[in-house]
Amino acid sequence: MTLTAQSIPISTLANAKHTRLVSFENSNSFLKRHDSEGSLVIAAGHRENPSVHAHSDDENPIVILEGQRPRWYGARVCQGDHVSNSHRSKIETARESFAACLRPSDDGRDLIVIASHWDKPALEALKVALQGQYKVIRNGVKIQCAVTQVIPTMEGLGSFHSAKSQLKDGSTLLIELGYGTAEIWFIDESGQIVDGAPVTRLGVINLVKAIADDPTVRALTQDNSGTVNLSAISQALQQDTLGKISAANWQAVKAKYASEFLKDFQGYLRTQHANHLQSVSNLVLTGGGAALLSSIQPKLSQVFIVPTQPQTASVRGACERQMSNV
Amino acid sequence: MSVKCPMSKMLQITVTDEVAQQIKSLMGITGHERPGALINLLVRRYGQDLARCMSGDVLSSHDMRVQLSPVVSLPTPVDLPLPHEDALSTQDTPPGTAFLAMDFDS
Repeated sequence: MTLTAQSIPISTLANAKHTRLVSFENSNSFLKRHDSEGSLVIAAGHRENPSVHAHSDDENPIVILEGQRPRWYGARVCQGDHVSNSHRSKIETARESFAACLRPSDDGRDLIVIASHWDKPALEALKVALQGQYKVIRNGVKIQCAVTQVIPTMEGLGSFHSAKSQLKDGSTLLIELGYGTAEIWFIDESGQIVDGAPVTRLGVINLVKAIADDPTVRALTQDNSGTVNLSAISQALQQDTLGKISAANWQAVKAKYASEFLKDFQGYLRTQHANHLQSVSNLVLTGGGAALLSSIQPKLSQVFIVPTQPQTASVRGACERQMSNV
Repeated sequence: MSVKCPMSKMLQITVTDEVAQQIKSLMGITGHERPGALINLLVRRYGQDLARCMSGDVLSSHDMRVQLSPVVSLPTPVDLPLPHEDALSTQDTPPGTAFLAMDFDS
């Protein structure tokens, strides 16, 4: 039997279970969710109408949203031809991305969603985009729920909260290293963002592209058309080897280009934020890039506070911050 | 003379005595305390030229031989070296300043 969104029985939420608080981040590279059941991270790329052989799971879900074509999300899809979120606005993709992150246990619930964005003027639009009823079939399971309230928040504040217990008195420079962009935030003693902006040049994609241009990597990983699979390199950064490259050589390649990346990072901060750097009491490095770079270059931990599980620190922290206000 | 490879701290470069002397001379000019940091700067600035001097594949050999290097004929780098990270105690120094002084080549 083929399930479609139209086959979901229409029912009211009169008998809804208790309301659930969900933290959600619609990054261009990863969709992240956190709630009382834990964290969920899904690579933010999809393919429509996947074949019957597509292997779906919680991090690689097949999602049918309100009668649209089935979409297969996740890291497996991103290894091949896929539609990336990176060229669309986060407002435009917010609803479909959130649908991909729904859980079976959301069925029948009202959801209060804490949603983050780096662009303050966009927060209201994000709120409007996410609110409303959701009728979804995810990995063959029907989920019907309603986002009744959206609490928009600035990106960075969730990660700040995750690191808060490790901070000294004083102001903080928080750097959230994502795949496509990095966000640099200056946060005062009271926890308010007082300055900051996203910086494309510092996204981990720049490290990935530099490695892809390495002659040895290119020679051993390019396909017949001369293209090197950037997604494969991204995944391999977390692993001990890449394709035919030996473990020792791969470690050497990673160390070399991570070093270059960090020097560029230093140069950017020196030229753009030298005054701030002299005055802040805390440096926080978070996001997926923080996990990657601190594993390749351990000396970063001498100066940076890196929250545990930095890739999900933002959504976990946003959730905890909201709960602490209750 | 054996120095850390700028490509990876796991690798070592063995250079001829003549090149070692040239590197030491340059260290006196630039103020670098360690040959590895100087070589890295040279690789960054003159990567192609310096790379041509290396026999063997940097990424596949743990025992590289560097032949006579032309680097001494190149202009002296004008960048002033940063204070060495070891000279800064991360206990007393603002973390931002300590980060800027970090040497990621060693």
